[in-house]
Amino acid sequence: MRTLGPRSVSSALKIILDVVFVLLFISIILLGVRALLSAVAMANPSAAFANWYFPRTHIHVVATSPRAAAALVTYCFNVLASIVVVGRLRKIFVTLVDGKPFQVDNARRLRVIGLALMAAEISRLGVRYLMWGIPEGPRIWFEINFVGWFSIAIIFVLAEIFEEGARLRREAELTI
Amino acid sequence: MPIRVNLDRMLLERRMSLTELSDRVGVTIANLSILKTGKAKAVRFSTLDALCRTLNCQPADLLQWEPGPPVKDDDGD
Repeated sequence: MRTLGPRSVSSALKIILDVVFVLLFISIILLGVRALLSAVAMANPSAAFANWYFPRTHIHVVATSPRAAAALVTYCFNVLASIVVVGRLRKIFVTLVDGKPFQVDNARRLRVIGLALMAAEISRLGVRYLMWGIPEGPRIWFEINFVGWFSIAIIFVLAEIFEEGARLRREAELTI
Repeated sequence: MPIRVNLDRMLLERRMSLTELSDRVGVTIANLSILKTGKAKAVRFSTLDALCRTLNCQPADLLQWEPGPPVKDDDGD
């Protein structure tokens, strides 16, 4: 199977990304419902959905607890970052299916993806800091996700590679 | 562009059209226009060879240097 062009690996991956993109938007709607339920539970702590118990994992979540709020905020940031990342990836894959991946726009999209992931990581640290010190919070708030940060660094390096690739492609087009 | 490609003059001297040159050299008319108008970044030796062979001339007949500001390297738009 070819890497670029129609009916290639890129076109198959693009279809998967389209599905993921739709699922992310459904997640946003579900997040909104969850936030609404939490707000109602705060007004009425005895409501049926104010306490959730997951028997398989023995996790008991109080909808209005700081932990639930932190989880909701972190999940919000992750879903928003994912929408930005998947949206930009879809546009990159369109250029891959067209067979012209080395474009300045793709370098810019990769930088946006890197910034979105960076924002998600920083927000995760921020939420952990806010939760630190309370009984349900983490013991150590400063926890570096090395895999995440290395991935961000690699994405920025890839952006520079795509920028140079776009320059070489432009030069090749104007070489007769 | 300090390097001028005198394609029009050579075509006139050889009484050849751009279309005919394009067919014989194997370079599209669009690319020959890019060459003619000074928008090309580089020329392959193989293209120069084909042009000189078809027009029966030397590279110096086709290429001329004119004093002017140096061409900037394209580091990206």
